[in-house]
Amino acid sequence: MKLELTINGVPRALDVAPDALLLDVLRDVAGCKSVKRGCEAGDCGACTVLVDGRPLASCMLLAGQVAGRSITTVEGLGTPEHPHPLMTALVEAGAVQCGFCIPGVILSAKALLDENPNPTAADVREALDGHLCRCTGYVKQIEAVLAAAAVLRAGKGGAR
Amino acid sequence: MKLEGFSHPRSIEEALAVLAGAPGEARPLAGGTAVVPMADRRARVLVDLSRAGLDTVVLEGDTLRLGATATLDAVARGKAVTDAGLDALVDAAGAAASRRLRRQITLGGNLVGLYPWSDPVPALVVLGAVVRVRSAAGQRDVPIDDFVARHPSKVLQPGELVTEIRVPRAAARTGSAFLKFARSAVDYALCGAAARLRLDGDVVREARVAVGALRPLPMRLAAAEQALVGKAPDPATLVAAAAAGAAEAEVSADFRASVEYRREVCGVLVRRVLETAARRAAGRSA
Repeated sequence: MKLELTINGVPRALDVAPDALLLDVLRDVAGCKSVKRGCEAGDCGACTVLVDGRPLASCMLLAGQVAGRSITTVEGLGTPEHPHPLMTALVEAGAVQCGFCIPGVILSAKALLDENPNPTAADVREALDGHLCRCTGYVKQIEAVLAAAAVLRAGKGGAR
Repeated sequence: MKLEGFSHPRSIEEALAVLAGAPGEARPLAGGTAVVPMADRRARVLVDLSRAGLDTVVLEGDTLRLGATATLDAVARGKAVTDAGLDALVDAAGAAASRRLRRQITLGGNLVGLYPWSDPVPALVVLGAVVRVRSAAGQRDVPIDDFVARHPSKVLQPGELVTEIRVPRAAARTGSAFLKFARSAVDYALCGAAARLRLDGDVVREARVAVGALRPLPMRLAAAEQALVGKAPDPATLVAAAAAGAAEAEVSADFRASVEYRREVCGVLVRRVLETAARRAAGRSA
C-alpha cells in the first residue's frame, strides 16, 4: 500500500504493509531511528512522535491512520551540530544517561512549549506523564524543560 | 482476515456508506488503541473515523453533545463539559491511562468496547447519557443503561455506528463525581465508582451510583441509591449507603485483586464519591 505523509517537513510516498505500525515505518522505512521501541503497549513513551503537533504513541498507531498527516521526530528538531534548546538543556541538566526515553521526552516537551511557552513545573510534570525513565529520574528532566522554556522565551535558542 | 487498506471518510454519511458497502469486511476505527495491538484486526478495510467530523464537544441548550471520536483528553479538558456541570465525566475522562493515551482513546471507542475497567462508562451511567446510533438507513437513541445491559455488540447492528454521546446538563443542586483505584497511575482500575446526587432542601431527592471494573459489566448500586433518597447527606448516611452498595455489588476476582479486596475498595470509593458529589451538589445553587 502507498502511504503519503510528511515526515519532518518532507513530503514522502512510502510503500508499506497495510498492517504496519507507524513505529516500524518510521524506523525501518523512513530511517528515523530516534523513535524507540519500548513496551509496544503505549505505556512507556519511548516511541512518542508528534502527529500534527500532538504527541502520540507510534506503537499504538497503524501507519495508515496517519495518511496525509505531518509527523515530527527528534531528527526534525535538531542535530548534534545544531541542537534544539530542549536537547541542550537536557544534556546540561544531566538528565540523559542511556538516552532511550529522551527522544519521546523531547517531543512531549516540544508539544507543551508550543502550546504554553511559560509552563509551571506542574505543567511539565503532566506533559511528561507516561514517559518512563529508568536512569536519571524525572527531576532533572523537569528542570531541563523549564530551562529550555526560558531560553526559548528569551529568543536565544534559534528559531525552531 | 487480512487487512488490505484504509478508508478515510470525510463525513459521517461517507463513513456509513463505506460500512454499508462492505458488510463484514469494513470495520470502523476510532483512536485505535484497542484494535492496533490485535494480531488480527478482523477487517479487510479499516474505516478511519478521525476525519469524519465526529469529534464535537459542545453544549447545546441543556444537552452536552460529545462526538464519538472526541478523545478522552478533549472531554476531560472541554470547557463545555465543565459548563454543563458534569464533574463525574471530567473526573473519569481525565483518570484513564496516561495523558498521551487520552489524546488517542476516544469516548465512543471506549464505550463501544465496553472494557470492564473503563473509567468513563460508570460516569456516563450515573449522568444518564444517551447513545446516538446511526446507519445509512436512519438513527436511533439508546439510553446508556440499555446500551450497557444489552451490550454494544448486541445493540449495534451491522452498518451501525455510535456517532454521539448526549449527556443532560446537570440540574440545579446536582453534583457528581468519579474515582478509581488502580495498582499504578497507568494500570487499569480494579474498582471505579461514580455517583450523582440531586438535593432538595437538605435532603437527597435523587441518587445514582454505579461501579465499574468489579465484574465484566458496570453495575448500578440500587441499595446504595435507596439508602440515600429522602435523607440528609450526612456522614452516617453516606457511610451506610456505601456499605449497602459494597454488599450488593457483584464482584469478580482476577490477577489484580481478590473478591474480598475489591469489595473493600468498592465501599471506600463509593463513600468518597458520595462525599464529593454531595459537596458539589450543595455548591450548585442555580
